[in-house]
Amino acid sequence: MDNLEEYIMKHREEMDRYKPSPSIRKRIGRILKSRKNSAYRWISVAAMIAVILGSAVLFLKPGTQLFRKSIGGNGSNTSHQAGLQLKETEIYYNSLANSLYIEASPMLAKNPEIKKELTMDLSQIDSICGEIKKDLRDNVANREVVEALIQNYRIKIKILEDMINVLRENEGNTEKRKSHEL
Amino acid sequence: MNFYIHAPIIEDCRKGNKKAQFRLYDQYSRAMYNLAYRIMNNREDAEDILQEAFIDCFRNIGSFRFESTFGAWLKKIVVNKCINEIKKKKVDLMFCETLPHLAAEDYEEPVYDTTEIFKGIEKLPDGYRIILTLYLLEGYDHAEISQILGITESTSKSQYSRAKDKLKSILSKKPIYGQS
Repeated sequence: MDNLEEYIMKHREEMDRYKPSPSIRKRIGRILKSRKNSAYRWISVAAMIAVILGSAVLFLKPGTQLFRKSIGGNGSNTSHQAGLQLKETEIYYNSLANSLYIEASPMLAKNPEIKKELTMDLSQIDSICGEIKKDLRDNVANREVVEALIQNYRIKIKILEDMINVLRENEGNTEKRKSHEL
Repeated sequence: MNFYIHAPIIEDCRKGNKKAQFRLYDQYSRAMYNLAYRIMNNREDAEDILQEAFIDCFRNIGSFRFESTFGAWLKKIVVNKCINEIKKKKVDLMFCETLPHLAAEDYEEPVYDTTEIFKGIEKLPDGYRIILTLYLLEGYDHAEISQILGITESTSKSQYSRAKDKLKSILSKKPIYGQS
């Protein structure tokens, strides 16, 4: 190591002479915030794709009731026991979804745009669930159809949970901003 | 080396915690900005690189596996962004072999001063400045520099030596190589 290298190494910190403009920090904050707001949109798009693909499998997979229906086949007998279990599952997921929606309601009231999108997404899932349930009238014991129905309920719960997290975080940031302003 | 020094803050960043993100930004932004400036030699470009690097960092922080320090990981992001930007701008780094090595008698060693060295580095041709920055100021070895710049290790070594000679010649009161 020669004298120049030695000098530079010794005074390394003095070589960082410039400070970045404070506007970069603000810009990064804005970009991260806008990405977070769009996070809900992506969650819901991803969930809808999952619902559509899941439902498509029911129509395309030979052996499922919906497949048979789509090619004009007949349904099979219903099972009372399976019907009761399914009813219980439906009640469980619906009450969970309701309580999450109640939890989110005050935050949704402050975010009408997100509320509108959420309502649309949930009603789409409900309509897919309705279609699947129609198929279950013909064969309630069909495991694949039941699984698809449960999967859709789970997606609904996941959308609500993720949305609550996004809204909570946004609220937290707003509170912080307000306290800084004071 | 303690790779886990920032582990709790990094965990918070992974959860999207803004406060934690800005703590990392406040700690590293100055060093990263100066690194970007030394490579790009332009404050506006350095600001853009800094912004993009931190956005990428926070977006991909889940992939940080504590295999290095957080600073080293972030520095890699900044350097890669700078090199990509330079490639986009089609800047010819011109790793020239034409300059003769500086003989001791050709060089009158000045009393070094960080301001003069700083200005001297700014005057170096792009290729020299980048190699000197990466090796001497950022602590990369020649094997790493060769990978970053897509050159051989021996080219990195020889170019570093020439970059240092050129800087000495700029700093010297006795002009050599025709100072520009």
